[in-house]
Amino acid sequence: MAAVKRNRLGDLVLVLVLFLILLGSLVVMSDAAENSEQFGRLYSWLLLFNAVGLLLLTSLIGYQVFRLVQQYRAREAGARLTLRLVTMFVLLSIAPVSVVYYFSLQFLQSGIDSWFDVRVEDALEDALELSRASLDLRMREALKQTESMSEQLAFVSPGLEALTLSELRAGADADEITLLQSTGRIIASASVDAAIVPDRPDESVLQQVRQGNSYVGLSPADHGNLQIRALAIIPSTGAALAEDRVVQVLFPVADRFSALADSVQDAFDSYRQLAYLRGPLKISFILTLSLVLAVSLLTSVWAAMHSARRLVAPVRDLAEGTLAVSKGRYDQRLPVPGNDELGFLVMSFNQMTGHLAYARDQANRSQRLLERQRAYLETVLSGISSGVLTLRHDGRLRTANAAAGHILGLVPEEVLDRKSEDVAATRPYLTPFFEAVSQHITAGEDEWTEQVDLFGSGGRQVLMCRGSVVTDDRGQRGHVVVFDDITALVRAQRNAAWAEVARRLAHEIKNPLTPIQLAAERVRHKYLKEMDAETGNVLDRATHTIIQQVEALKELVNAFNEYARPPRLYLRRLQLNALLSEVLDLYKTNPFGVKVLVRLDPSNPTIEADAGRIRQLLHNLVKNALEAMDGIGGELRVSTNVRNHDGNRYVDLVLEDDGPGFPSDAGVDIFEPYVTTKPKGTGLGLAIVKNIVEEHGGLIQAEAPASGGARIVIRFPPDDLAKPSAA
Amino acid sequence: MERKRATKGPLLAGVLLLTLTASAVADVGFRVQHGETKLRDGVYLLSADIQYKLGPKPSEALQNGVPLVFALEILVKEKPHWFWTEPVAKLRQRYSLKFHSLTERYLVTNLNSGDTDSFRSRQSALDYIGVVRDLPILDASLIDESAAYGVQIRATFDLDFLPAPLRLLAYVSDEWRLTSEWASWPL
Repeated sequence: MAAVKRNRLGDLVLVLVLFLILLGSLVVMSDAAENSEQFGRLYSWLLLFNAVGLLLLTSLIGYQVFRLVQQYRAREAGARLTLRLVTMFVLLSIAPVSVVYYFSLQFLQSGIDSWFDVRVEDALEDALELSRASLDLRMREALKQTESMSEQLAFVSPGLEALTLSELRAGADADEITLLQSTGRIIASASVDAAIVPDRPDESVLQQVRQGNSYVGLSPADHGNLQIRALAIIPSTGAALAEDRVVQVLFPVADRFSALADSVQDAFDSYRQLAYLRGPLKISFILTLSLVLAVSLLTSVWAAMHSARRLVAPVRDLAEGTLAVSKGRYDQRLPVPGNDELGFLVMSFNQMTGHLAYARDQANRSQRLLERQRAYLETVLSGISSGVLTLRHDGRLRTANAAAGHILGLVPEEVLDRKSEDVAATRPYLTPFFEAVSQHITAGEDEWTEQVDLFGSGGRQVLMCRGSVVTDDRGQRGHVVVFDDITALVRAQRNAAWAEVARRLAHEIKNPLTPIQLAAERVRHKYLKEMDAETGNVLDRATHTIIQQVEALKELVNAFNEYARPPRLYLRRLQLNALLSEVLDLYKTNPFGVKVLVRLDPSNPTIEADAGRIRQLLHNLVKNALEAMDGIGGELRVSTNVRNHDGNRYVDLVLEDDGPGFPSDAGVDIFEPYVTTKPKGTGLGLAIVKNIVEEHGGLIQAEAPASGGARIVIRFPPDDLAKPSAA
Repeated sequence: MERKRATKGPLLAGVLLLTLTASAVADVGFRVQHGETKLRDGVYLLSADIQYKLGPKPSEALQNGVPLVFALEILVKEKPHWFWTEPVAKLRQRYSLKFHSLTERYLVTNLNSGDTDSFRSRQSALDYIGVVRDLPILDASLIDESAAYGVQIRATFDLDFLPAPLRLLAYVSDEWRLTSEWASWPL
């Protein structure tokens, strides 16, 4: 915009300078047209200069017109208005200038004509004639004198001519007397100024004289003076001379007379010249006037275009600015043209676009903030372990975070925008969950909490659900359901409860057992030898049974104690293969007739563990297996393997037997206390095993292979990763 | 004035031919009829005969007291590069012709020397202007003797001396453009 302004200013200065130069040259030219000495010689050059200037001005205007027409055709903003203003301005400037031009022409014509007057002309001619007439008298006198001289000279003998001429000249008060042959050859001469070469008459004059006619005439001499030239043929005096002779006398005209005649002559010449030059002078004046008109007109046309452009510029800017705003570009700032109403309008426009731009930026900022918050919320939701579901007012799922998908076993993207019933239909195990949610929503509760049990392929799953009503941005009621998988928590709570029960039982039962045992032994000891064989036999059997059963009870209580005992681990690096071999050696020969097979990993894996606890674990498992195969027989296969899973290394301990396997009831965890398939089992063996595994940060799994029997897989973390659950 | 015949052999034949063809074109105008140079006392002297014939417009102007200025342009150039060498001598002989209404005579003033002569008729004045005799144009010491030189002359109106209003018309009018062809011959 600033460049355009500078450009316009440059144009203005250029045209102004051009106009002033042309005006100056026109002033000089009008002076030159009046035949001033000073500029007269410059006239043609001035004319050429002005023509070039006009051409330049015309080209400038032509270029402007061309641009304007182009803009008009391209329907550029402001082009129509500019064209209208230009037309109006041009018409406004042409009209008065044309009127002035017309009247100037009229005045010029009549003004120049008025210089000339027939009476003046006649008077000048009369003056000239008067001069001639008065000179005529003197001329006649001069001729008479000359003819008289010629008669005198006729009798002068050759050789004396010069002397005679001198005398005659002095006598007649002439400037010069010359004796010539009729061919023009000078014979002798006498002059006032002896140094001057004698003046020769014209051939035509000589011709006239040769024919016998005397000649008298005026001729301008040097220094503007007049001279009377008189020639007469010298009469012949016989045959003495072969050729005619002529005498020429130059008489001066009196200075005063000469000056007056000269003045009349000058005035006449000037007037005549002026009259003759009347036509060309008019043409010159008209030309100058026309040039003035052309310069004024072209300059005013240019000025009109310039003003129109200047005037329209803010309007055009406004139109373009408005167009830009309508296209959503609010960063337009228009140059303020001045202090007038247009300037105020442009200023208001700028303020408006400024406000618009600010509002748009604000909205953008808010939107970005909202997006960021939304993204942040999504990140938080995807990061938390609780499942979060939101439902629309019509029961369709709106969002589900990653944890929800994980807990419910579905891909969130697949269930979005579907009704909860439809989701439940494809995944029947989720029915309790969605039913519970639907019930609460239907009941119109604002907040609710419920524990839901699911039974899926992964076993029993306990979900703790909390729901609340949320109102979305359109004022519609939706629901958000947050739920946690508390299966592990519930199990841990139950385990803790069982441990407490066991500890109490052990304490309560163990206390009376020793007195019972001691009492029975005492009865047996005291009364057995006093009784006869038959009674003694009864007593013996009875006390034996009591003692045996108390012993069994003690064992049971100790087992309970074992289960409930708070773990105390002494972890150290342990070679699993060595420990396994050591324990299994004890069972190589067993009363159950079971064959024990061992396959150990050749890499000899080590784990971070408490050797005593692991030994107990192995005893429990082996005994458990052997007892399961009591009376059936078979093999017990024990192996260790190092596995890589998900980039981590694990040590697996696997025990397989050919026993009856685990009960197939779903939902029954054989690792829970008091779950047993054996008539004599306490139901605590596997529960203790699981405790020990968990204490070492491991994982235990009971499987029923298709070939029958049972398989227990224990996975220990590698020794560097072994983390006891409690130290 | 008496016309001087070309007697100097083939050198002047070209000039003659030129003038003859020029005369055939128009009887009004200026024409170099004859020109020659000679070396006397170490100075080159020019003699030329030029025919000046005025058309009605210049005659009318003269009759109405407008002085006319005739110019004889004389150039001496080294010959092989005729057109683009700077002349070694450049002269402009100007004559003013004016009608003296009181005496009804024509005054011829040599603007170079200031000499004035008067004539009863216009033609005798023009004839007087047209005869150039022994005009010194160049000192022989100024030129290289081994090189060949040529002389060019032409007669023209000096329009710059016309009154300003008339000058413009004279520039654009054919009647005022009476300039002769260049006549040239070896120095």
